[in-house]
This record gives sequence, structure tokens and C-alpha cells, in this order.
Amino acid sequence: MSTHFFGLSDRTYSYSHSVGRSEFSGTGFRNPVDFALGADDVVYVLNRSYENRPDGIHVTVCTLTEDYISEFGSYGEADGQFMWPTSIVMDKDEKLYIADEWLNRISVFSKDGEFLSKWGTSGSGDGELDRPAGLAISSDQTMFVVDSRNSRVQKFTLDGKFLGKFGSFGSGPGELNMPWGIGLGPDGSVFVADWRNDRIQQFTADGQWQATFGQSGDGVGQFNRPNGVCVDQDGDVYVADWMNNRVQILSPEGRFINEMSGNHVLSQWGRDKLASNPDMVRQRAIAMAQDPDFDKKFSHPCAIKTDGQGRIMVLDHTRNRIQLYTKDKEPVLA
Amino acid sequence: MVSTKKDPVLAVLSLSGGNDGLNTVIPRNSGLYRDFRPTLGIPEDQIIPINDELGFHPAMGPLKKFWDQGKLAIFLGIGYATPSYSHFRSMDIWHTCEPEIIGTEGWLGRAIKDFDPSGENVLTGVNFGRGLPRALVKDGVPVASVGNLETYGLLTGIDGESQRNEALDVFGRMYSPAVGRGAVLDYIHRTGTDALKGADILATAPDNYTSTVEYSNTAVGQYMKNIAQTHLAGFGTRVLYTTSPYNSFDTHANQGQLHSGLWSDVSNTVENFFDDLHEHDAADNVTLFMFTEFGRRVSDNGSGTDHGASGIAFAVGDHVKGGVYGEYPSLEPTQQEDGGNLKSSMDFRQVYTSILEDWLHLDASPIIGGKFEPVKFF
Amino acid sequence: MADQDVALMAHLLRRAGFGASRDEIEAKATQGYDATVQALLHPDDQPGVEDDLIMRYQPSYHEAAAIENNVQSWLYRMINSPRQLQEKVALFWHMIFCAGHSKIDSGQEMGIMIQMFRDHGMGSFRDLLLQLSLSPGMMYYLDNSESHKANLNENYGRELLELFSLGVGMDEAFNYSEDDVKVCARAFTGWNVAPAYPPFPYGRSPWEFRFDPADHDDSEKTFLGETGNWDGSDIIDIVCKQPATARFLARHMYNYFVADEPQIPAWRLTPPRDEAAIKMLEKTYFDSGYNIGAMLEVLFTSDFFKSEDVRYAKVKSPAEVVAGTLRLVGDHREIMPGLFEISQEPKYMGMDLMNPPTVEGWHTGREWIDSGTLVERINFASDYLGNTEMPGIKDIVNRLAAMGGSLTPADFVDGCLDLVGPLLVGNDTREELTAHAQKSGELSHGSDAERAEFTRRTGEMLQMIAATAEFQFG
Repeated sequence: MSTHFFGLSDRTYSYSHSVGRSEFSGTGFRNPVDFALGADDVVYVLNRSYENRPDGIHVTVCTLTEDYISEFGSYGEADGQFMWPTSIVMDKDEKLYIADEWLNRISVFSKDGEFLSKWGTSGSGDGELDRPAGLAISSDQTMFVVDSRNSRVQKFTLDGKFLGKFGSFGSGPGELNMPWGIGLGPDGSVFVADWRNDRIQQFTADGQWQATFGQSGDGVGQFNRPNGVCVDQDGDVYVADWMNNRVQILSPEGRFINEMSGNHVLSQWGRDKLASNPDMVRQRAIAMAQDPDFDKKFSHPCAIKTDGQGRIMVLDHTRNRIQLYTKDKEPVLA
Repeated sequence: MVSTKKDPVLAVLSLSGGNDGLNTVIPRNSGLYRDFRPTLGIPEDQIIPINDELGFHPAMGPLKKFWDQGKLAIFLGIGYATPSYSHFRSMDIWHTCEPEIIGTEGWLGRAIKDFDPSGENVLTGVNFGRGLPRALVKDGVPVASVGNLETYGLLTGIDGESQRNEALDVFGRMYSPAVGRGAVLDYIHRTGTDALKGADILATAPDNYTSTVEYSNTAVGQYMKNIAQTHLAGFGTRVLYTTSPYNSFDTHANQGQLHSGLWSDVSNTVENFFDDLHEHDAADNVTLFMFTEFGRRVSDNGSGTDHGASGIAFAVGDHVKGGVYGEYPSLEPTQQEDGGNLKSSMDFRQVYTSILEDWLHLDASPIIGGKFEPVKFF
Repeated sequence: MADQDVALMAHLLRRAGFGASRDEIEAKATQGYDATVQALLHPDDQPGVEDDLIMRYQPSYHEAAAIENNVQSWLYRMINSPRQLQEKVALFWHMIFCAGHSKIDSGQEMGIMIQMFRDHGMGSFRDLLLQLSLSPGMMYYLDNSESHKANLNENYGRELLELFSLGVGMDEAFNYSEDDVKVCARAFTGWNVAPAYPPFPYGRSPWEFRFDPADHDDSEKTFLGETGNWDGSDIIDIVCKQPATARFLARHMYNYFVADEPQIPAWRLTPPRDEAAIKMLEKTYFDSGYNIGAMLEVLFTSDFFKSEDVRYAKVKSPAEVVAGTLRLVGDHREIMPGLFEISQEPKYMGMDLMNPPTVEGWHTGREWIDSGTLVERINFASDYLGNTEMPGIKDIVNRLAAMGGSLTPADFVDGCLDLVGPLLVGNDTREELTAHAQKSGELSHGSDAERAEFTRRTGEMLQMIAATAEFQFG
């Protein structure tokens, strides 16, 4: 089992396994952009695919052990359909909320994929949306919507009533430039992936700026268009550093702890696919002998989640899979 | 050689994406079929038996009627040596009959040239769908490519019939030949005049068509209806071609559901098509050929099947001698191609040879680039 | 602004790019012709398209296996790149250094090859030929990966000489012998492609060039009269020194940027349309040390390019029809759904981008036109030009309205022709269009109803203009 350990680090992570493969429907994902974790390790993967493969645009429902359950949603503008889906989140009643940045709306589904309702209107006024990106729900059932082209975060009730907003365009403290992902800390603080500013910003739940982490670059603690951010029970911050093809982990104060670049080994669905394509088993073996790392590594990790059990799940966008890690209880020496 | 009351006509339906032959004409008693298809194997009791060994996919009920009437030929193991697993390349090979080099001329383009060497009838070959499949491409052979027969023509974006007619009137005058302002401009004027003429003729096909048959509202259904309309209009069209939606048969995942829908659509449409022709006493001189660029892997991948080698093709028509032609390729692992594919046991050019010689009365070898032993199915 | 400045700038932007709106033509004409040429020649000094936004909104364009997504991504750049000449040059090389998806079967490799043309297409021709020979896609497409020391495959060796550099012949003589082809192929043995990951289950790795010294024939060879232990890069050095290579490039550039010429197989026997122009470009090739950008600079600033004789002396390629129409009407100027359908249009018009029919490429000039492709060209352009909701068409309506409170049918037709080009049409065409406009009389736009009718008639007239034979030229 691979681990990461860089001398100063007091936390390490072990790769567990991967979920998924490249597929337009059924047992795989296509350009997945976000996912939500439900009860019993059921995961809801939001596939963006593309307009010439509209069959790939839907939510895949499966488990973290690769039991395929179902899929729902399709390409289009009607109720229950998606054009450019960006994010998915589940509330405590197990309803799913899916943002669509072309239609500027949030669609609500039951956990079985039944369309329930939608809300959101286009614009830049209070409660109006221009390309909604990340979604997060706080413990008091407030919905935070990253309103990317309005350079702000808006707060709503779960049925779409406007509650408040914070952030404005710019690169100063508390200012945002096309923000994308959002994560909430155990104390309710709000972390926003300030995408085009190449940094993470921390706010209080009321929108007071707290801290800014990182700057443009590919060095330690630097980011290149970060898009996913989440916070674990210890307050550690995980950032999907999209264009740097890595995940960086920061302490609650923003100190760099560690990074992951991917440790993938074949998923069950991947093994199934190869079993029916024996010539590719050979091709793969030859390619791996030359370049063993290619298959392991993240390619544009795009969303990241943790759960209460110390598991970390990284959505490996271009490679159409999720890589799962666990946070070691004690640091493990490499 | 078959004789028909009117000139023989070939209709082609290309099943784009690579149809899974193994789940289309199923070796229903094979234990290996069950072994290799744990997820996608069709349950024994749902297969439609056609003889002691083979059966149809459950969605192919309507095609079974043609089988029972002896009007359906099934070509097993059809393909070519050294398979290409690329949609584009393999389709090009079927289109151009050039498995080794990259060919530019299509077999049906050459056939159309033989029918109409000086290109007098711009409707000798008609394709339904946007863009011309390479099968129909040959320099100097005009082939109309019709995206939508109901609205086909020039300046289709102009609202209002009278406005459009007026615009076409102006167009006709602007493109009137013999302006003498340079060879290229003159050429474009002639071409524009030809295009207008072809469109005007084609536009009459739906106007003069009535039928009790209702085709499904799918692309395959509507294009096959267009083929019937064009055939019934009597423009002298000899080759009518269409393609299922691009790569629709490319069932890498969720094949169970997808493949049923595809074959239900194709089978119903084929039945509608011949019902329509019979209703107009116009089936005698039509053969329908259905093919795909390759079959799929022997083994399913847990949800679908991936690109394979040889596949299944069909011919349907009143003059077709129904039956199974060729051998089912072995499913034995040691006999599979590249360890996972059905090896081709019949070259597609053998079938082309019969279509060209026995049905269309053309000399096959210059068209397909060589001599191939014909499959006698007429 | 002087009409002739606008007309000349429009000509430059059609040839060194994919056309422009009237606003852009006027803005560039104000900056000046030479300044605009310099800006076009130095893409790195201009902002590019915003790659991060493309990747955010169309993540599937990035490292896309599917060819359709690579074609969309390229069309988006043709429409939107401020570095217009860079895209036009990439298309130039794609139409000469043909490799196609039907064989390569990896959209990503086609995308990588086009990016190589962007990166190297205006520098040294020697570097470009070397990059081409290091391109894994090309090595595979032309079977160099199947060419071995012990078992030679001549395909790349032959096409490098025949179609990528010297050409078969010039001034009635032949430029190389069959022996030169064999030697060339021997020099490139060992230039190969490393095994890549298969497409399943997660997508393949990008192909990588690999030199295999054990498979390289390093024995002595005589190529075009020079003897040594040549390898591929030596061959490229020798090729670049040849007058035939200068002629080859000069004729291709003239044919692509200036005026339609006969197709390349005719070049050995058919002299150039403009011998002096070709001589000037050949001289620049050597004077600049094989620099493509220097040749383009001479070309765009020359009298033969600016001459009215070569305006509209080219049949537009389907890529030019599609990208040019979108630039004129102002659609898809940002990333939005719907580009897939549009990206298929060049294919319907006979130009399947990233998938040329053979290594010889597309037949251009009048051969773009047949009765099927003409219908596609006319309907595509006229649907767009008749759409009065498009920003570029709204602008044309406003500019026509600004010509006066009331327009005669003749002024109206002339105004429309001017604003879509200025497009040059024959008198007979103009008379037909004017006669058509006369049926509904003079045009005014004072009241809302008049304005609506004015707009409708403008859309209708633009549709008719898009349907003319003259509109097929660029």
C-alpha cells in the first residue's frame, strides 16, 4: 500500500482502492465533475460528458465497492435534465441538489432519482445566479451556492429562498474570481476554491473573510486553478489542485501538510473491461512496463470529499474514476 | 441473375457503430455463448429460434416473418482479414473495398457511375442523412445527400413558401449559365443549376406519396420512409442509402437495454418498409442490404461489449433466397482472433459480388477491386 | 475611413485569418495595414484564447480521445483566437502534412499534431519538418513505425519528399529519384512510437516518439548526391537546402494565401500563375534561413497580395465558410452549447477536419464545390446571414439604417454587399438582387413597423447574397 511521507509531515494517507472506469453509461463515468456520498456507501456521481455524447450526461448511482445501482437524468433543458451540470450535494433528508451552470438552476431529486423541483433564475441581483458552481449544505440546512460569474457565494434555504451573499470580483482578501468548489469546516467556516485567483479562501458562515491560502504556481502550497475543496473532522483542508494534477492537504491554519498525486490500481469495473478485451491486457502490460506511473496518477482531480471514517475520495476527472484513501491514525513512514 | 419488371434497385441501411452479431443471431445451444456472456446472454426462452442452432434477438420478431417467408438472407462471420477495431477505418474498408491502402472511391459510387456514366440523372444515387458516406463517393458522380426530404433543397431557412419560391426564382436567374466570367464561376453556376434541378425533382417525392403504413418517428424509420418515397416517385434512382444514427450500435455499456431498442426499431422499420412497397406494388425490384463495420467482442464487459471483428449482415427482398450463408465463427478461445473476437469466415466482398452481379447486373470486379467467390443468395 | 483601406484590410483578414466583422475590420484598418500584419505574424505578442475557461466549460476538449471534441476545440479557436494567422497557418500545414483520424484512431493525437502546427508553423521550416518527423501520430500514419532496418517501409520516406518538401518536380524536371526515396526511408528507420496504454478501461496515454538505435540503419548513404551516414535529421538538412523545397513552399503559400493554383500533382509541368511572386518568396526562404514567418511577411506586404486581381480569387474552403460565417454574424464568440452541430458542417461541405481523405489531402479550389456541397454551403451561410437576431447582423442593419432615412433598392443592395465583404459581384448578379429589392420598393425605418420590415428585408437580402456564386469565394 502506497503512502506519502515528507519528513516534516505528521499525517499520512494510505491508498485504498478505486471506483469506476471510462464509460458513457452503466458501470462507469464520463467527465465526472462532482459526487455526493449517501448512506450505506452509496455514491452519486455527476457526469458532465459532452453534447455529442448526451447519453453520458446523467448521475450514476453505485456503491464505493462498485455495485452498480442505477442512473438518472439526461441531456436537455426540461425538468430533471441537465446541460452543464457542475455539482451535487445531499441533504439530511437524502434529497439531492444538482447545479447546472448553463441553465442557472438547482434541480432537486429524491435519492431514487425522481425529479422533485427546481429553483434559480439568471441574473446578478440578490438570489439570481450566473453560472452556479459548487454547492454545500451546512448543519443548519443553509444551502451555499458558489455563484461563479457573479464572483460571490450566495446563501439560500433548501427550497431556494435567498438568505444572503458575500464576495465580490477581485483578487484582494475576500474577493473572488470565478470561484468553483466549496467546503464547510467542522466549525461551520466556509472554504471556497477561488479558481481564477489560484487560491483557497476561508470565510465565516456569515461571510467574513478569515484567511487566504496559496497563490499561483506549482510549488508547495501553490495552486493552478483549484476547483474542489473539503475539510475533514480534524479541520484539515483538502484541495483538488486541478491543473497541477494533484491534491494538496493543508492544516487548519493553512500550513502545507502533504500532497497526493494518485496511486490508482485497477478497479473491479476496470478488471471486468479488460477481461473482455484480452488484447488490451497485453497492450497495458507493455505500456506499464515502460511507464508504470501514468495509470496511477490523477489527471485533473476535480472534486474531493471526506467522510466521518477518515476516508478521502478524489474524483479523478479525466480518467473517469474515484481514488479512495484513508487517513492513517498514526503517521506511517514511507 | 435475377430478372425484375423494373430496373433493380439497391437500398442500404448501414448499422453504424458495430452491431453485436453474437446477440443478433445467437448460437443458442452454445455453452461457450453462456460462458462469455454472463451479463448480456439472452435467456434461452426469449431467443426466437430460426433453426436448430441459431435464434434471433427477442426484439427481432418482425424480421422472423421475412425469414419464415424465405426472403431473408443472413451472412454469418462476415468481415475481412486483419480486422481494424476503429469505426472510421473499418467503415472505410467496407465503403472502399480497400483493406490495405486508404481508398477514396466508394463501391456504390462506382456502381452509380456504371449505371449513369455521364451523370445525366442527378438522382441515380441518393443518400439520406447529412454528409456523404464514402461508399457513395466518386469524382464526377453527383449524389444527392438529403438531410430531410420534407424540407430538402436550397435556401430552406427562408420562412414562408411564397418568399422562398421568390428567392429560388432569383437564385435560378443568378445561376443561369453562360455568363462567361471565368471557368470557376461558370462551373459554380452550372453546379448551382444542377442542385436546384435535383432539389426541385426530389421535392415532389413526399408530395405525391400516400400510404397506410406508419413508420416509427426515429431516424431509421423516417429515413427508410424517405427511401420508400423516393423509390415510389420513379426518378430512376438505383442506389438508396442511409445510416442509423452515428455510432448508435456502439454498445460499450448498458447494451441489454440499448440493443433491444435498436433492433426493435430496425426490425419494425424493415417490416414497414416492405409493407409500404408491397402496398404500392413496388417491392419486386428492391433488395435491402444491412451491414455494420464490425461485430463486437465475444465476452461482455459486465455492461456492454467492445469493438470486435467479424459480424452479421442481412439481405431482405422478394428475390432474396432466404437462408443462412457461411459458417458461424467458432467461440472456442483458441479459435478467436486476437484472443477475444470472432474470426471472419466470409469476406464482405463476396456478398458485394452477388449484389453487383446477380442483382444489379454490373461487372463486380472493377468495382470491388478483384474477384471474390460470390455468395449465391438471389 | 477610405473604402480601399477597408477593402484591403478585409482581404488581409480573410486570407491571414477567418474573416472579421466590419467593426473589427475598421479597427484594424485604423491601426494600419503593416501594424496588423506584424501583429498577425507574432501570435505570442497577442492574447490567446482563454484555455482555462475552455477547460472549465468544455472539460471534454482537453486530452479528448473523441475526434469530434478535438474538431470542436479547433473550430472554437478558428472563430475566437485573437491569433488568427496562427490558426490559419495550422490549417495550412494540416492541409499539406496530412494525417487523418481514420487511421490514427486517436482524436487526442490529432489535437496534439495541430497544436504542433500552431507552435512551430511560423518558425523555421527545418524545425517544422523535424517536429513532423518526431510526431508519433505522423510516424504511425505513414507507417514509419513499421519501417525497420531489416524490413524497410518507404511510405514516410517517399511522402516526406513528394508531398512534404521537394515535390515530384519543377520546371519539367524531377526533383528526386527512387533511390533517394529508399535512402530517405533508411535514414528514418528507428524513428518510432513508444507503446501507449490501451483505450480501456480509463483512456490511453498520449503517444510518445521513441528512437530505437538498434533498428536504425546508420550505414553510409547517398542522398540527393551527398554521401554520409545520414539519419533523419541530416536528410531534413539536405532537403531544406534544395531550390525545389523553396519552390514547393512558395507555391503552396501562393495557392493558400493568394490565389487558387492548379493542384500539386500538376506543378512539375504547370508553371506558377505569378512567376515573379514565387521568385520573391523563394529568395526570402533562403535569405531568412528557411523562415516561414519571413516568407509570410513578404507575402502579406507584397503588391501581388494587395492587388485587386487576387481579391476573391480563391474558392473558400469549408472551414473558411463555417468559421468565417460565425465571425461575420458573431455567434459562438464564447463557449456555449451547440458547437458540435456546427463543427460537423465542414464535413457536410466535404472537409472532414482532422481526417483528410488521404495523405494527398483535399482537392481545393473549384473542387470544393459539387451539387451536394454547394447546397450545404449556401444553406449554412444563408441561414446564419438571414438570422437578424445575430449580433453581427444587427450591426449590419444598424449600419444600413445609418446610411439614410430612406434607401433606394440599389443603395440597399450595394450597402448589403459592402457590409458582408465588401463582396465583389458581377453586374448581372447585382441586377438580379436589385430587381428583387425593387419589388418591395424603397426602404425606410422611421416607425417601428418600418424598422421591422427594414430588418426583415435586410435578412432576406443577406440570405440571397449568401446564396450567390460570388459568395463562394474568399
